[in-house]
Amino acid sequence: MNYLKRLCRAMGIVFLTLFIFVPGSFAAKTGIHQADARDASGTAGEMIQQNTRKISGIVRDMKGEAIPGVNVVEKGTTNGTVTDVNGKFSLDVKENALIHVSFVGYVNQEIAIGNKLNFDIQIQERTEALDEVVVVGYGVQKRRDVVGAIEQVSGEIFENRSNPNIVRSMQGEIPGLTITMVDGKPSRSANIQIRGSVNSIGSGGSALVLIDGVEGDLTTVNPDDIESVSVLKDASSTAVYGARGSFGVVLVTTKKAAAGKPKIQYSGSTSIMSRTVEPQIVNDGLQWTNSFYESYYNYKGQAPSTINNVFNKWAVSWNDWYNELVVRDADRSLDRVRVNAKGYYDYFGNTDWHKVIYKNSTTATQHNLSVSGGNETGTYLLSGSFYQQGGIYNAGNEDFRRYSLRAKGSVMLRPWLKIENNTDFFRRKYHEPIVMYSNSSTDNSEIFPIQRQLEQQAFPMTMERNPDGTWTECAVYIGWAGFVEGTSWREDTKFDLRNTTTMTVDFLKDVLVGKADFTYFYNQSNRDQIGNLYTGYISPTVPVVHQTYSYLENRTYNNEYLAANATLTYTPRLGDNHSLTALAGWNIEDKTYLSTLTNRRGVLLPDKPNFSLLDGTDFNIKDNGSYSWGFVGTFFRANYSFKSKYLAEISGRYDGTSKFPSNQQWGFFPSGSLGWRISEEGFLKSARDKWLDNLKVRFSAGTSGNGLISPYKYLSTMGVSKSTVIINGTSSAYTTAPTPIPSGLTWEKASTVDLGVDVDLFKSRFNAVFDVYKRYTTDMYVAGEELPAVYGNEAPYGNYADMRTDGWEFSMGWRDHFKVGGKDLKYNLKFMLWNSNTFVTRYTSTTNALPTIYTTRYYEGMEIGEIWGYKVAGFFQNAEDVANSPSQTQFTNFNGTGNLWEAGDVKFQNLDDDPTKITNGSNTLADHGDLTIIGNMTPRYSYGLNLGANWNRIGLSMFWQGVGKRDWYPAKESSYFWGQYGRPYGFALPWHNPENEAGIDDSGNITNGDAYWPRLRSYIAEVGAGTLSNPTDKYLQDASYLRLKTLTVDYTFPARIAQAIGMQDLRLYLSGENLLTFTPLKKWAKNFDPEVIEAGDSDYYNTKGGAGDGYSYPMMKSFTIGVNVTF
Amino acid sequence: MKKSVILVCLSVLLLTSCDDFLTREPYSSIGSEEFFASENDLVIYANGLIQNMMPSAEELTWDYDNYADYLAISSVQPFLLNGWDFTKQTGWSNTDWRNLYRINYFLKNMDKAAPAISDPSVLKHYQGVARFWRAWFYYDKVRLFGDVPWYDEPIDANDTEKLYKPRDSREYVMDKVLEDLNYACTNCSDASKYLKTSVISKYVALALKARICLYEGTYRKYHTVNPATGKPWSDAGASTRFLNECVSACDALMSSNKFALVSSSSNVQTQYRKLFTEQAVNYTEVIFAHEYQASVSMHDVTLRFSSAGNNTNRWSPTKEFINTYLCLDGSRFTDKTDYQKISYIDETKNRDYRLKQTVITPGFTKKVGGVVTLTKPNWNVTYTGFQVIKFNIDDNSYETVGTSYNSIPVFRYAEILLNYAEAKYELGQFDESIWNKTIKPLRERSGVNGAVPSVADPYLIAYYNNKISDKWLLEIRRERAIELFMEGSLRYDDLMRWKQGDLLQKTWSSIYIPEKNVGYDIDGDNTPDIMLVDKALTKPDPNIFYINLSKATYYTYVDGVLKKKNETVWTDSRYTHPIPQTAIVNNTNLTQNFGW
Repeated sequence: MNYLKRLCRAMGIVFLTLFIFVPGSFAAKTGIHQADARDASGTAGEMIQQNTRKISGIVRDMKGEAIPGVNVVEKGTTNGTVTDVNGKFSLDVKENALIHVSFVGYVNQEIAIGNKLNFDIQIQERTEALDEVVVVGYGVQKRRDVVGAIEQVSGEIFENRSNPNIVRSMQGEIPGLTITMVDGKPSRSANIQIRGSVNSIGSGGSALVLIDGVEGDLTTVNPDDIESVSVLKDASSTAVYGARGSFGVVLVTTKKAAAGKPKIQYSGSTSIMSRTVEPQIVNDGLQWTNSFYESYYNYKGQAPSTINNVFNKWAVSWNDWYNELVVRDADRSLDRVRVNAKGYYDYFGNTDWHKVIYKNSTTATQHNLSVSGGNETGTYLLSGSFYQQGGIYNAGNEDFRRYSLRAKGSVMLRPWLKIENNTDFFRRKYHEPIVMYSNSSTDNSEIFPIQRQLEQQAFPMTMERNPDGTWTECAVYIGWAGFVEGTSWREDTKFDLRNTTTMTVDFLKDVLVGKADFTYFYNQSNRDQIGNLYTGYISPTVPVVHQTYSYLENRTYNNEYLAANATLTYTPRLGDNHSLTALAGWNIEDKTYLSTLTNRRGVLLPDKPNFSLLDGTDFNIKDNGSYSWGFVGTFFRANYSFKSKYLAEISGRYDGTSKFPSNQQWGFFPSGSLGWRISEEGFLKSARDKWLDNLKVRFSAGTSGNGLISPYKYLSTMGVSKSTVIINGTSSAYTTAPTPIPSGLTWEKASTVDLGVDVDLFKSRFNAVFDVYKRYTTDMYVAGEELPAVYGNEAPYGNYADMRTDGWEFSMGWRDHFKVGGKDLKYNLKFMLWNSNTFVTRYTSTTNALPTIYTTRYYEGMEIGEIWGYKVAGFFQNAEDVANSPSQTQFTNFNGTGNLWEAGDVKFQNLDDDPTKITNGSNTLADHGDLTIIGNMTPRYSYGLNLGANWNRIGLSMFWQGVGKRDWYPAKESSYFWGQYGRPYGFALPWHNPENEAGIDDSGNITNGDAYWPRLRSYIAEVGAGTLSNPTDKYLQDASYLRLKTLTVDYTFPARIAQAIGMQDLRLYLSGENLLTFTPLKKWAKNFDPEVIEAGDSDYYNTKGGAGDGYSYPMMKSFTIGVNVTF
Repeated sequence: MKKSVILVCLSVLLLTSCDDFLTREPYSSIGSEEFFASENDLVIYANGLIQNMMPSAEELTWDYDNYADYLAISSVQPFLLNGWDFTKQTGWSNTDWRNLYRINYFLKNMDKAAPAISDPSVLKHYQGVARFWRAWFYYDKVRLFGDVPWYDEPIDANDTEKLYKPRDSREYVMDKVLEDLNYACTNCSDASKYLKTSVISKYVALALKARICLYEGTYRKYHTVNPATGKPWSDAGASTRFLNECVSACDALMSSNKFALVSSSSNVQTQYRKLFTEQAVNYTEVIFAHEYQASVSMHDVTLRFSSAGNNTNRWSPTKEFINTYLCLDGSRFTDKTDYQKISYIDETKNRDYRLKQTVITPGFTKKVGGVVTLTKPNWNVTYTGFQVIKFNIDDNSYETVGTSYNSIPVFRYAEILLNYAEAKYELGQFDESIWNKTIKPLRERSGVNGAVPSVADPYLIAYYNNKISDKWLLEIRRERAIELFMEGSLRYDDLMRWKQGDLLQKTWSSIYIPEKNVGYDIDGDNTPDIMLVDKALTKPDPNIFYINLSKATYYTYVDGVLKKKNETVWTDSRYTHPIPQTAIVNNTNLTQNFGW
């Protein structure tokens, strides 16, 4: 019912809009025809007097696009006019007059009218950066007038890059916009944060992304469609978005349709991609086994008796199998499999499982085609794109496809009325094979990443297949059999349709302009997932199946979103010294998200998963997180400048949202900013004449509420679930008491103060921007002071925490050109660097438990991301050293049946007053024992460096990106780092060898005491209390990096060659992505890409300390060859 | 002109009211204000109490009993070791009190449904259900901590007086519990739709009342002081009162004729165990059960009792306890001469059939890989040679995580008979007629002659450290231990209420193994199965399980039995647990228990 109601409301708005305009539009059509007729007649201007004549014309920019608002004045008089929305003007002038054409940001022109009556004037844009137009909330501003912290990049950064989505290409390009990759999966977006790594530790929240003014998903934007990306960082620039923009706004503007004859552009490319890091592990069966034996023996104090999947402990003994392994290792001509005395398979392989599973390389292809054109009354742009990326596995049909189509058009219905439409269609399909083995028996999302399966079961001695061609137990267990058979997979599909209709009305030409838009967005996404059973053989006749059930699961996601905006912009003419722009507007948004999950066990036909072809009695249908919310707001902004020297802006927004209880739904959030262009002052005139173009100081301050919270956070609700206890003979519906919601809640607020300096020097060859800011996130909604347990609930939540982010951003650029070999060499560089630190300044929870790398917690005074750990004093030298050192029984150091310490084991530093033992106290701030802060895991000092040069139609560009500081402690279970210090049944790493490891001699003294690694002892990096499972300074890794993100060489063919083959423009390029990486990780963590150090795969099982760090989809590097053509 | 029309229209749009627009109901949950609008809402909410409060398979089998006197285990409950203190104690976090909040929330809000329910007894039934669970909740809390604060409504976050109030005395709390129980027994329905299924009925309430009242009645009798305070009870008549309430609850159940022992003379060797190993609950005897269902709701019990891996505590009934099983003719095994030197094969013959239904005895079979296979005790699982099978499905395919589906009883009629017998005894009202109604049928159900013993059993007198000597009481206790073996916490609770915590320190012995270094046959096939050795053999026989006495430091070999050291420490302060440190820090008005 609600759905219908909302649809009606939406339709109402549409009809209302149509109703107003339909009668007008008929008239408009005739009007257009008249205008066309007049134009066609050329010199049909009317003569009014003998010595005056009426001239008319159009003013265009160099691209041929008509420019409204251009001043056309008869020279030496006050007789003048401005061009209309279509760039047209008409004016009565004296014969032989000169007309002066001027427009801000363009070079002035004077034209003698002579006998002509009709003019087609082209004016040239000034290249000065100061006149650049910057997209701001609900409008544009000149860069020189901007007083907020806004950074804009053009769509060029997306050119020539082969990435499955634009987020990957934005990384590092905009100071203050921190984009953190999780891994290389084509369907993956990234974490996008504007200023600070965490926005709110209470309700959360992230940057608002608007595509052509409407909330959207960056991963669905065709990179070729993008005109510019503007990032609004401070409260002043985001204030018009109110509670929706409290943590910054990313504005993506797509290219406009340009009038002119049809322009057809095509770009296409093909890429070869490979993993940036191919993990190095021991693939030699005997070498692995020896390392296994040592780590196992040091842990257990006795010899191992079995290795899963390799030999059957009831059939043969360790010695029997091992001796045979030695024999077969020496003679590689012998079979790698035998059938033992009891009839079971024993394996002696040297399998490189990573090679079995991963391809060396894969490919990607991209095609974009656009057509645009139009005339004064109407323009159109049609742009389509296709991207396909192949799989990284040797089997499983992984495939990523993205299709998009955008259609934009505009019609001038009246000289004062323009209608635009922007329709966007997007389709994505991603098919990937999955390990059907789940961590949870009830949650099919908790699928293990394949690397974790490799770690725990795929030892080099195991084989993919038995001699008779059947699957081995290992191949089934790790899920590889499912990859090859192609019957365990997940497929994500996404379909988006978005339509925005905008009308612009000149109520009072250039003085009062109204704009209204309406957007309808519909999205349908699906996730289908199937897991099947596979049979392996542990003997020629004995089968083994590893799972107990097969299943099919479907999740549907339906999104419907309606938005409308209306603004009025008032720009009175106040003379030369004063300029004022005032904007008032209204915004409404309505979102409905519906999701359902269905699953059932018992797949009958593995190749044909369908809910009618299942026979399991265990099925599940439930809501999968549906919600809806509404937002409405009115806002204003006023910019005033005096002599372009003193700038001021105030703005504010009154917001209402359904996410709050009715007495708290509305909030007013103001902001203001001031700017001073010092360079315009008289005392700097001499400098201004020589080298100073611009020196501006800006200051802004403002507050907004955080409306980015989950929709029902403040509602007291009761969910209904299916009982796991049998009630009345079955799983029955049950509910329980709601969590009490405290009264008197209020909005979380984000307040920013920002001080910025803009400098442009040497005729705009050099520019620099520096911003320093503080952001206070206050009244965050977190757990409060703990109440006595008899309360029966968690400490009640409330507005109990504050946080402060201190940061700065710096960017500078240089561009110039000089002659080389008689030809111009243009070059440019841009360097960006930014940093922030976030501190919790108020936190009322009394427990003050310390965070661990496995559990996020806060306390007052904490810096976000800090890592608490122990300091390592070295290794124990001998038994005496152990006896004389503080006891380390806090930790587990398996040694036989006990928990003993010997030479070569890690020895911790005692930091607290208790010399008897190493302890974490009660793991609280007040009592933290020997724990201390050893690092911070937040990426810091992000930077980017763009270099470009162009000579004789040959272009070269390079983009470096990196993180200057980031600490990382590899969590337990991370076998790519810990090898057999974790599970003995895990990866053996080549550098975990006696040369790098401490040892012990017969008399119990340490050997090789300077080594990096301690004695090889398994499980100490696997169990929670293991000596290596808790962060230590010694094994803390420096995860900073510098990466050559992209390198492009392109060649533009001379126009005559291009034209000879029917093209206007032809360009070829070669580019590479992620080609070079410099990182300290290469010393001991060379199995990791610095951008893929997260645990697991966030689509599957990714609990830190559960799945290993680095077990995500690998990061890819690529080589691309591409072509750009304009017809 | 047209322009101004548009302007007006836009203004109208801007001013459109949006109160409705900003009110959104969640999709997948119900606003708490709208709940309790029908009888079905009461059902769903009551289901939540079952979901959250139904004891798990674990709590119904080895819960606290695995620390009781009759088991040898691999690791002693840390509470029973030196060094335990209030910093280590748990059980007083907000999650431990959440079920009370849920119950009180129910009681406070369920009246909202009254207008929608025509039959007022329905509302009373659910009030009874809520108070049933509240009684159980407090029974659990009192068993653990003695004195606890009593709350009969949800506490508001700002109600500091309630949040920070001191503890109420055990006597006050247990009187409140009795009020709740009596309310539940009176108002919970006995309509057939509540019977023979896992929801609360009048009979389930009566069963809980019988258990709690026997507990409290005997506790007040055997303990002269409140262990929480170290001070004498103020209400001297409470013991008799609770015991009488127990008798009346048992009487009500016994006279209802709704339940009976499952007792068929042709099934004396199997009918006892079938109560625990079948998916279908036998509601003839079982009053309330945690039901499980294959592939819907399963547990690990078979795995935990049979796997040598990390999941087991190696629960091994002690020889001292096994000795108390009578012979089929009703005679005492311990009256045999040299009963301590009777071989395992012989001692398990002609004994109370509950023995072979509780532990593995020669001839026991289970499916291994689908094939019915003779199975002997696994010495990786047992310390004493006695391996528990009472709750197992006899098929090794269930010896994996989450695959057992046998339903586990919570209350059985057998317990009611035992409660009745004991309450009657403690009231001084026991005689042969009571015997014939209670102990006799229990024995006969398992093939044992139910004749009245002529004298007190000297073995049991010694077992109970010479603290009791009445033949009736000894037989009641014998029967209770055997019949209710490992059914949750019953045995541990018995020791607590009888003030016999000292029994927890008993040393544990194994089956009789006549000599070292000689293979010993335990399955009767005349081939050796186990051997005690002083050091590892160079050429071991793969068919023999070796107990290496030099490595197995926990064993001593004395008089033909392996003795396992019992590390348990007992002090009378352990009749209550300490109030956890965090609880006292958060509410300084909570006082610590006596002796902690």
